[in-house]
Amino acid sequence: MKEPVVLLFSLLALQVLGEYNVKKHKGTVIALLSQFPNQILNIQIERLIPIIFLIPALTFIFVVLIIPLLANLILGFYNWNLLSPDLPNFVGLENYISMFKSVEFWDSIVRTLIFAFSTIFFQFLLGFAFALALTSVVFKRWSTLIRGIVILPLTLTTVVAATMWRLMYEPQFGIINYALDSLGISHNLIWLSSPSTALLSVIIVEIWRNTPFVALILAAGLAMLPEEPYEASFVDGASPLQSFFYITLPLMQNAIMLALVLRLMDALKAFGIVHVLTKGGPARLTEIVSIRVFKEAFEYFDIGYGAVLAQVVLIITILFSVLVIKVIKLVGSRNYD
Amino acid sequence: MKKYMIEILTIFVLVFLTGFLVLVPAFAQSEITVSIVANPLVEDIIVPNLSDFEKETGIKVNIDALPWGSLYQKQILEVTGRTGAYDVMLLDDVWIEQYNQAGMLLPLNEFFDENTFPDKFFPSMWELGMKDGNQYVIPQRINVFGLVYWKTPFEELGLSVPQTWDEFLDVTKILTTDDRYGVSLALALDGSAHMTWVMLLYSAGKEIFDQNWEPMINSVEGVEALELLVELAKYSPPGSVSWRWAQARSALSQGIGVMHLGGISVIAELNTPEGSDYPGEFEIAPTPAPKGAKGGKNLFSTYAWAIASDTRNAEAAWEFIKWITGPEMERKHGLSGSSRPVESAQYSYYQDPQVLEARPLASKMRKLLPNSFPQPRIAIWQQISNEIAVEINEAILGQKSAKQALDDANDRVRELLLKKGYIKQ
Repeated sequence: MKEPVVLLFSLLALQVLGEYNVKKHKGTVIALLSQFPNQILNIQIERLIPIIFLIPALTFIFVVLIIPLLANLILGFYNWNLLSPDLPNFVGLENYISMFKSVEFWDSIVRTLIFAFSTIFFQFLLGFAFALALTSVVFKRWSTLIRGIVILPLTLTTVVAATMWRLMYEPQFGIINYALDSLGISHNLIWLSSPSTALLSVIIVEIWRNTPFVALILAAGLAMLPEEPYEASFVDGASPLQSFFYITLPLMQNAIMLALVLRLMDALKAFGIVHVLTKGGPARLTEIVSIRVFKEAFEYFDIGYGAVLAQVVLIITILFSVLVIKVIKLVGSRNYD
Repeated sequence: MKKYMIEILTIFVLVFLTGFLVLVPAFAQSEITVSIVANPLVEDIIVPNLSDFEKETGIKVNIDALPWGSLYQKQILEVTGRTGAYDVMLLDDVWIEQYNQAGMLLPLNEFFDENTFPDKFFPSMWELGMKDGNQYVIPQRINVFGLVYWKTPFEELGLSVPQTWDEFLDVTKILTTDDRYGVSLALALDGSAHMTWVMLLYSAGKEIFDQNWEPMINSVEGVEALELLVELAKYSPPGSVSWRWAQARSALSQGIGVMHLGGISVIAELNTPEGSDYPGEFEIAPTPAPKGAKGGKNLFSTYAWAIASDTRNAEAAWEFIKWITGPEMERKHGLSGSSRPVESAQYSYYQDPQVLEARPLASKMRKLLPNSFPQPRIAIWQQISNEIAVEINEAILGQKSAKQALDDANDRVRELLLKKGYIKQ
């Protein structure tokens, strides 16, 4: 009994290391499993094979995802500051109560939602426009050039992109105010430092940065659309606008859902752009939840409270992602009706 | 006879080998890692001289240079995690109390003569690292904060350098023209906003806390200092409320701003052709104070050396600190012509004629040092200073009055102090 177990796990270990392909040598694995006493393996060997194949991946997910998530959940019930000489002590729901009582927390939630939904709204509109341009017959000659231009923001690292925009937003020397001046529409905007424009400026950068991502997903979706419904609609005398609303959009439901959900998940936990551009300032005008998590966990090293805030980011992300999926499915089903 | 000869020869060889081993420093083959803030001093002065230290001691030194913010996070995560990644750390003075509270620093008393060694340093700087009779850091680089100004516009307009807050505001208004701002302020949340306010508060002779950690942020002087900042900000380039030190200094170097409240070591750079458009035209003065204020003082900041409590090479780490803070390296810093703050926490630096000749800033800084003091030594200063900075921003942006902003800051800081057990209800 001992030998086949050792052999089986050795083969799995070799597969993890990339030295052995268990799938290719299914017969060997079945032969090894057949040596297990029936009372232990009281299930069909064939049915066990997929589970065995999944073990390495599941172990990996368990170690890098489930354990940290559980640890985060547990940490939320502790008062633990890395810089405190005291050991972590159990405080029950104290961190949660502090969070719900905190005006700054609720303000940061509102800011996060404004940030996330406004960015994905404009990313969707612009992304769809670019996607249509990329796949359109009219722009076919230029599609490589358009693709190159569209994809450019995605090729820059967050820090470089944010630093570049920080300089562009500079009220005196920045190219944006210079361009506005040149067009005779100067308002001497203090982009990142004014209560009326600080959050807007950050939103603009986020829209610029991730619109290409939406455009690429939607372009891929458009490229895969069947031609028959369009031919039928043409024969029936449908206008291009009607074709778009009654054929393109419903057929693109899955691509749209994928783009929006991925972008929403990313926008709700956005950090890099805001951190480099404003660090949440001036005052707290651009302090979204992830900036608050960073401050609590990695500037004040209040790990317990930081963990609670991180859980909120996770819950909000899941809730809104599910909501967006439901809404898109609902709209899609109505269109089909 | 032959047998005796072999025995004698063997003993001789053994004695020779033992003697050789004793002569080689005890830490030969040691290797230490130094965590340091990334700035030109590392590449220009420390790294080129490291080979001398390594040859002399046999200690191999690895340098891990990181930007200020990342340095703080990495040092805390490594040392509280007891990874042993760092042996020597360079700390900003505002981190010392935090690190100490977290047990991250090794007491250094056993490494030096307590009767003579501390006397080398300015007391206010040496005391930064002292707690319960133990010394945890050795201060080195110093920057005093004050008024940095571009002389030429003052001379052209026949203005005197402001000494009081009223004069400061008046002069700022006069210096402001269509293409120039009277002052260039740094008021971002990264530390510049609260430090600028603390400079003004200190100049009025006031403190942020009383002796029992009761906050006095909304004192009359505190509110007046913020009111002054709010007024000054109107004559500072647009966007100053988000400016970090470098941006405010950059405006000064290009002649966009005439005065600046900040670290005075910047004139070493501003007075060079590479550092500004007006080399040789910059000067420093103490921070203007309220008229008739008593007990005014300057703010200083320092970088200090410490040994990580989880080091496995404490002796070798101390050898490095002794070398880097020793007279030879201090002189090399002084003569380097660096635009960075290289002024020292040690008296001997200011007595070195070569340094004084090569670096005019040294003697100016020397005059200000005895009356210079650091930011409060409290482990939660990072949180407190952020609360103050946010409220300063609110007042500058016109969202609150100076009084309201500092009342709110005081309440929030008090709440924090209560929660952390510094004060009682």
